[in-house]
Parts: sequence; C-alpha cells; structure tokens
Amino acid sequence: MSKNHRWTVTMILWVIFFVTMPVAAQEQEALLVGSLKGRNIGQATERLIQAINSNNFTFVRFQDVDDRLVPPGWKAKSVRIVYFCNFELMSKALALDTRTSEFLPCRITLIETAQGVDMIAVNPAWVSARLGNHRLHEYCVQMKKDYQSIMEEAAL
Amino acid sequence: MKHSCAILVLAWALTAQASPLTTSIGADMSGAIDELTIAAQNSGYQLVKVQPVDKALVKRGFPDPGLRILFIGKPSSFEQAIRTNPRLLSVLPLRLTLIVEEGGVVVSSDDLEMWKEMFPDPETGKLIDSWQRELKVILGEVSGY
Repeated sequence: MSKNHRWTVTMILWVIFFVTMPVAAQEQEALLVGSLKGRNIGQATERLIQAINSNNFTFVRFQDVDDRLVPPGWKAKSVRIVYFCNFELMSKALALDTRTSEFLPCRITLIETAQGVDMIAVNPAWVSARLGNHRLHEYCVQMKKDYQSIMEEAAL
Repeated sequence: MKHSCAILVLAWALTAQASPLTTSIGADMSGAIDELTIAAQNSGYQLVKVQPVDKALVKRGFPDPGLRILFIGKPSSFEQAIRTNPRLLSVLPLRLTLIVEEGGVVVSSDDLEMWKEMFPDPETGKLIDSWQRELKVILGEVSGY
C-alpha cells in the first residue's frame, strides 16, 4: 500500500469513528431507572447498600438531597443520594481520561413516591459516548451493566 | 489528501461536543477550595461536600490523580428541580472538579449542555441555563474576571 493510500485509509477510519460515536450515544438511554415497590426510603437505602457491596463496589456515603443546605429539621426526607465506588475501576478510568470525574463517584438517587422508591442514575455509557474517548466508553459500558445489576438486585 | 482532511474537519465539526465551563486558579488545592467556597457563597451557594478522590485512591495504593470534587448547592435549586422535573435530582448538587496542574488548579464544572440534551424539555432547559449562568459567575470570580 502506498503512503497516500495509507493516509487515506487512516482518514476514513477517523471519519467513521467520529460519525459512529454519536450514533452509539443515541443508542444509550440517558438515565438508568429502577424502582422498589412498597418500600420506604430507609428500607431502599439498606437494600441498595447490600446490592452495592455484593457487586464488588464499596459504599461511600449517603446524604439527603438538601443535606447541609437547610437546618436539620427542615430536611426533605424523601430524596436521598447514595454514593459508591470501585476504587480500582475509578483509578483506571481517571488514568484514561480525567473527564471521568463527570460521573464519579458512582451515585444513585432515591426518590420516595406513593408507590415506593424510584432509583435514578445517570448512565455512564451515555456520558462517555459524548466524551468521544473510545477506550473510556468500553469501561463505561461495563459500569452501566454494574449499575443495572445493583439496581436489579436492590429491587428483588 | 486535501479531500481527506476536509472530510475529517467536517466530521469533527459535525460531532463537536459541548464542553464544561473551565478556569484555573493560581493556588494549591486547599487554597483553590477556599476561593471557590467564597465565590460560591457570594452567589448564594453553599459547599455541601469535598470528595477527596486523590486521598481515597492514594490510601488504597493507587496513583494520585491530583483530583477532588466539590459539591455545591442551594435549597432553591432543589425546590426548582422538584417542581420542574424531579429526575433532575439525579444530577444535583452541582459539582466542580479540581485537578492539580503545574502552577495551580484547573476547575471544571459538570457539562450542563449535556444535561440539556438529557432533559430536552424547554422548562428544564431554562432552569439548567440559569444554573449555568450562576456557575459562570462563580468561576469568573475565582479567575479574577
């Protein structure tokens, strides 16, 4: 293959890469959603922490959504954020791209409703598809599966 | 070759991605956190939490990424989010990422343009725009504009 041909092939591959990344992003849902029917927020937190631990992640902390923003007596008890992490995965992902911090540490937001508790998380694969880093995206697709697995286990 | 380059530039333009707000502070990490805390307070925000990702990783034997995350918030943001689109609660409180670089600390906000894509309805978009304006003021203040 001549030098000119090699250059052309490289350019075409780049074009394919940049055109297909947004397509991959469109295939991803922006939010991952689950629900725990008939539970209150305390029970949901407990079940979620168990699921986090059994999926090889470390529970970091939880906070009510307006924690430290309003006096303790005024807190909205119906929305809580649960933070967790897999430190090895976090270290590798940050080494690949510091923009990973956009979705670190991992978090699931719990919202209590009349039917139970909804779990919502930003899909890391949706974010990484927009960052345009193919290697990071591979990690994030796995991370998305981990989120889904944690949510499914918590909902059982 | 010229054609290939043109195609590449076009593809790049078509897929151009929004980027987060960024600035740099000529201080060490704790100095930068102090400056941001004051700037946030001047815009009605409070520091909710500093997530010391660097310390957490080093403690476990991983390389130091020189990175911490600041969570800032104000009660009205949550009230607006609940009223406008409760799913917005999945991205609050607002976050600022601090990364140590030579000569100071680079600060980046979350990419709020991406959130507008995530929540495409106009009402939510307006709310996100207002948060983005406030973040611009906060970052502008620490960068001395």
